[in-house]
Amino acid sequence: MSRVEGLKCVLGDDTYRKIRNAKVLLVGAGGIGCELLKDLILLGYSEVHVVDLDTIDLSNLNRQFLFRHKDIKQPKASTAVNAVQSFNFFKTKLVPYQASIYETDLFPMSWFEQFDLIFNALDNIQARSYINKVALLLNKTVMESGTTGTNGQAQPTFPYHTECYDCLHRETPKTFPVCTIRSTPSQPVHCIHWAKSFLFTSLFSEDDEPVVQPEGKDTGELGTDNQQEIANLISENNELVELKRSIASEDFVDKVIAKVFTKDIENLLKISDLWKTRKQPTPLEYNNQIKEKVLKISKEEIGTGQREWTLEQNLKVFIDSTLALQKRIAIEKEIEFDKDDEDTLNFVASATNIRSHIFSIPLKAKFDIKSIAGNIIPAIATTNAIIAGFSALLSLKQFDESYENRIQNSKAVFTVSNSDKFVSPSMLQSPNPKCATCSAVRGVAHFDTSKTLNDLLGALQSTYGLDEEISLSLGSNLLYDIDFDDNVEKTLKEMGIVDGVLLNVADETDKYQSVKGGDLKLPDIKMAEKPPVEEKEENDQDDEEDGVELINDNDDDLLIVDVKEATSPDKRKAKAQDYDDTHVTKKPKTDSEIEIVE
Amino acid sequence: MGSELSADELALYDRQLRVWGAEGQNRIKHASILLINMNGVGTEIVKNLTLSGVGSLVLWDDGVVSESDLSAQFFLSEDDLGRQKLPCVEPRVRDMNPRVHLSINTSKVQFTKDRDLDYFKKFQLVIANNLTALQLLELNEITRALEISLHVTSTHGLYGFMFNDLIVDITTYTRKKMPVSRKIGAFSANREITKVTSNFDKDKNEAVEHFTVKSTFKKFIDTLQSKNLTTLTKRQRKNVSPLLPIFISIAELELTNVELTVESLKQKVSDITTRLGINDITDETISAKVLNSLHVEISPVAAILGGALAQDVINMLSKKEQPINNWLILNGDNFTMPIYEL
Repeated sequence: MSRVEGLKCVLGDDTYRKIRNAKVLLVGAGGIGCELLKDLILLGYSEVHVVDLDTIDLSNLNRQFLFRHKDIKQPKASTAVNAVQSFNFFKTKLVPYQASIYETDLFPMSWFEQFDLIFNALDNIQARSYINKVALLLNKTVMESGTTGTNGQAQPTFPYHTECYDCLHRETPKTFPVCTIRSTPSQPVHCIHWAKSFLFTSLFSEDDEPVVQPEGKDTGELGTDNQQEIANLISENNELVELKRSIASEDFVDKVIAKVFTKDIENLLKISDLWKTRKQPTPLEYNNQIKEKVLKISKEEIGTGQREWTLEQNLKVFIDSTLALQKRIAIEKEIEFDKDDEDTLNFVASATNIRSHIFSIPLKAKFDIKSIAGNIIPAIATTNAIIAGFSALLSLKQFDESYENRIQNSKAVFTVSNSDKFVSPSMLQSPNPKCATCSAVRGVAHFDTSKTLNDLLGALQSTYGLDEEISLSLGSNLLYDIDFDDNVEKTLKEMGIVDGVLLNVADETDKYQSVKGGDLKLPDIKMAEKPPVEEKEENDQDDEEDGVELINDNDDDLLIVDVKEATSPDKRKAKAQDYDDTHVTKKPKTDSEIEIVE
Repeated sequence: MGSELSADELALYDRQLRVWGAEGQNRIKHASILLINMNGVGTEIVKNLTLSGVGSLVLWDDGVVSESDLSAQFFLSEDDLGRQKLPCVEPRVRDMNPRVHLSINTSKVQFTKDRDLDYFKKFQLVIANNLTALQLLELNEITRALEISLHVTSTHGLYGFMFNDLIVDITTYTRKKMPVSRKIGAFSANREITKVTSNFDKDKNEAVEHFTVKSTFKKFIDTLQSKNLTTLTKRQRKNVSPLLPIFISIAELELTNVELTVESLKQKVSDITTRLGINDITDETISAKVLNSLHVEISPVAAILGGALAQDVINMLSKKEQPINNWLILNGDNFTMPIYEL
């Protein structure tokens, strides 16, 4: 049987013909991306465009099978495309881009329009959320996928018909109160945060600004209202800023050790209230005799960091890495923590362990500290291959003439660790009516931007049946509402309504949730009626401001929802329930967004 | 654990060490594996196992590259048509991870227990794809005689299965302790818990439970006669995949030398459902689709089945997760992968 007959026999003539004419976008050429690219060209897709900003790292090679050692530092997109040419049996046209998908000059909405399907093979929430919004604007089906270790999921999203990427409530990163990190750590993770986000940052990567300001911070974030403790936090910090000024001095490392591991701890001990219910820390004993002994420790004894180091070995690593960073800072001026930068990792690992020792917390191997400090997401070839396989199989359902059938025949597929099944497919959920993203109707408008705002208002009113009680805004910038008509004679261009911007149109009456307009070509979208208004506490919270934050800077395939949710569709439902029952934390948008194309 | 990896391995394997640890990696590193028949699923298995860093891998296939191979076998290229397959594949697999000791065997794929035990005894496990039922029985006799593990797959279009015979697997797993602790005794037809202990894990700051699972497997021929499904609830019996009796029927028709046709398959499936004690779940549409695409492979199906098999091999080697016992069905049309303990 020829390769073509083989495909026809499995896919059916109709799907085969459509696939051979389909042009698709693959966002991401990493763990899932490499696998998916292989599957898509072997299914005979006509054209695949591959976007990835990244370059190849050594730690990618255990699963991103299109890459070799010689490809390290090369762009992922073009390397992947070159690698699959040897088995491009159906002569798929491949177009790689080493670029950020957010670049609207390179990837305007009109560019996205050309694709029949979008495959996400991404590793972060922001990019998934962006593609989700693009899909909502252009009404494109997105094949979404994600993995963490042996867990993974694949599912298509149908704009306004099934839940969108933003419909699910995602847990914000775990944060710790400042006082836990700075004064009263009880777990290794507290010491890791102290070493990475406080000590390392203060010494090597920040301006001389004290982290804790004397005023204006509420005690909820600090996690304490003990005035003595707060005063100590501030003076501790100011001393560190002072110490940083002597970073070029020969005895810098000794000064750091004496301050952060001995004197700061002695000061903490003076705040007796802290230790009424906790075990007291023991200040580090460090003198010339100990130093001499520490300096004799050999590289071999330190090893590769898979075993836990003794206190002395940690001190040795701390001294060596501080000296190395001290040298580098003279040239580099500022150094960021990077899990793959050995000096920075050694500093953080050893500082973590010395502090853990002081607070009687178990010490950890550098290997384990790297995982937490670097926010490493476990990743293996098999899960990526399986999930990419399901994403590709699910795409076969997207060529049915009936949109209803496409939705009905698609599933959300999750891996499970049950003994009676390997994956769990579940029906796609309806959109969450409270989703701030997809409850607003969106579309792409084509304007002549030399027209006036008045022309636009007229078009909006006639197209969507709105009266003059509407408001227009660009981001947080109000352009028009019934009490603010100063701009109506200005041209759209003058108002900043240019190619690629998002225009919010809100109906100020209670009738419609949102909008859409002559020679101003407005999108054909149906106005959604507003749901009954519920009195909810509005709380525009900004998640990024609270306490110490785990920043996700990993480079791998992050799961779409968190692992617990992903492993069980039932739990996921329970979660959605939780979300419905608790107070709304984000103001649901009741307006629509219109993407402007000239 | 006295199992330090080199700095190079640590850097290369970092993301998977976060899943199965250095101990698991060391076990994988010492595994010696034979793979028979390098089809699409075989290609995926070889890719996954090579990336994971298995110790040694022998590929055995006597085929010449034909048009039908250019479907899911990404180690091949169009220029290879007409050439012997393995010499084409070998350098490309080696290039992916030179740490794996790779070798090939291009002699005719045939084996008997009487003659070939010596060849097989150097392997810790054998993987074989798309064998005839007769070959499969013979291979199973060999793996049983040598007490080595067997994993097999078969693929037909959107459908396929994996069967494994690990003989007996006794492994202790550690999980977070739940309010109700695990009980000693059988918890499914082929598996039992033989030991439960618990302690407080200072590192994780939580109570953990260690439990030993004894998982007993059956020979392929015996699974065909299994009565295990009769203990399922009525509803579970109704939900058994129609693919299971179809795959069993295909194997039995081969064994009895009956030609595989729409009619013979229909008759056999009906017999098998009765014998397995499951409801009549005959699905003629699926039967027709399977018959229409016998041994035809497409890439995503090969990727899923090959991924599941490689993961199962890694689970067995690393001892982190329980191995599948013992039939896994893939239905790529409705995205289900049920496991049946036969």
